[in-house]
Amino acid sequence: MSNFENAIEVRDLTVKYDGFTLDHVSFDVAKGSIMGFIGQNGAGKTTTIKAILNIIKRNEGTIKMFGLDNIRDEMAIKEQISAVFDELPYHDQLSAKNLNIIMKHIYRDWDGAVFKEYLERMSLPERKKIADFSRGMKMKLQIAVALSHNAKLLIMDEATSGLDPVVRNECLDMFMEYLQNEEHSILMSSHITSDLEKVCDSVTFIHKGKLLVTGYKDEILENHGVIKCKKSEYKDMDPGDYISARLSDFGASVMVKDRALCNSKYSGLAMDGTTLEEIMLYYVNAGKKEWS
Amino acid sequence: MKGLIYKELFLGKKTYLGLLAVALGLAILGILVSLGIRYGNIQDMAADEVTRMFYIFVYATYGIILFTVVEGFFAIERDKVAGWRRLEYTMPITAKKQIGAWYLTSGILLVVSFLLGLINGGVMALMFRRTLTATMFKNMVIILLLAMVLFLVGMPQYQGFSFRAVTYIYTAIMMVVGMIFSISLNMEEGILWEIYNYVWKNAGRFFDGFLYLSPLIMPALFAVSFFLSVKAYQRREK
Repeated sequence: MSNFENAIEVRDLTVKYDGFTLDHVSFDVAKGSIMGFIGQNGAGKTTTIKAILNIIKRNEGTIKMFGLDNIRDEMAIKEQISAVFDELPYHDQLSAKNLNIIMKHIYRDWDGAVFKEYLERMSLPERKKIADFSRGMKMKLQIAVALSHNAKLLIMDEATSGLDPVVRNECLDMFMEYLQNEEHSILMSSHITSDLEKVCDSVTFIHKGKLLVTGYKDEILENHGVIKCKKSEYKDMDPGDYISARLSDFGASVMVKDRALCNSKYSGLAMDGTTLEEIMLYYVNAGKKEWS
Repeated sequence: MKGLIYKELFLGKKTYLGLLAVALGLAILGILVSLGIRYGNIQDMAADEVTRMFYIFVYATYGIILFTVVEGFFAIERDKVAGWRRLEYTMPITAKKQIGAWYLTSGILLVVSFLLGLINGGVMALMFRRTLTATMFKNMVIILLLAMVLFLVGMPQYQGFSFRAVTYIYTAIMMVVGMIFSISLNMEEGILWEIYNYVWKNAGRFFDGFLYLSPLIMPALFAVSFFLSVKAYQRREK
């Protein structure tokens, strides 16, 4: 299992629901990296994660984790992964102390000492019932459990959404610390793109069940750019060069996907750098081409 | 599976203590009534009445066995409400282990409540100066087997029904059983009495048959119930 290059390999993943199709999605999460999984609510992020975790059935495609098939080798894989969800999945009546005992008997590599260290570090009470925890405490507890059984892959579904900035930053610091071990990888879905921009090595962006962009974050940010120009100048641009254009009374902001090419092609126009959030916005409106 | 059993024990603690408290409360009440008959102001109670009282206190404890079945359904409901199952699908836990943990903890609870009932029966026999007959013991075993049947039938069914629906069905069954029991204690001679006797005699035959066939029926029912529960559990989210 240690010779794998990618922690996750998704190929042509297709899941069909009533009124929604996750359509031939493919991407990789490289070993030792953190991938941000971006998309609007309902874009298919959770569906993809559920398919990776084998919580739902897929219609087509293959998913490999650590080089193993996620269905055939399910139990071996699940010893090596941790999942963190937006809602705490533990019973309110339990305490952190109870969880320590339960998890010790579920995970082969459960480390009670590490778990207690995390509890102390996060100032989480060991004996208090989870019902009395705040949302931030609940999320920290979930992360403490996830990081205490030597998992090689952490899968997070909107885990930091709904947390205040202080707790969110604490969580992000912990993820970065976890990644110090180069065997460890993270797949992190969120619509808070600023968080992902801060910590991710690579990004996958899906919209309405279709994959739009996947690759290294720096490359994506480097390749994309926003041209700010007059509406008349925008009209002269080749539609194949841009994703979509935001029109306002002051002119047009046009998102281009090949900055180097557009820099030489439209050398008279000012080109700005962009953010993941902007890229997401322009891709979401790509169907309309023009929006305001 | 050990981790899951610990989970059920932590979560079911209140129910277990509650059942123990009810059993203890009934035993104390029985002891007080028996002391009242012996030394208090109900010394003039007829022998038949005392025997009836003895039956009530013995069988009432056995009613607890039937309610322990609900704890098995509660366990599934608790997991659904907490969202535990979604997390569980990400853990190295097979469906057989999860279902096994539910069956095992419910089985232990049933046996413990049966033993509690037996101890209570012994104490009541001692206090009321009545004998715990072979028929009474047989009835206790039948109650235990009935509870097992309800559990084994209910577990896979529960995967398809809502908790509320199962609770309603179960409560209806309990009310019918309770009504028959209370009617039998207060019935006078007459047409109703004859109908009751007729039904009871035939039901008695049915239960006798069930008891004798139980070494065959119960393992088969267990195997089918376990298999169906595992299959239902393996069904992923839609």
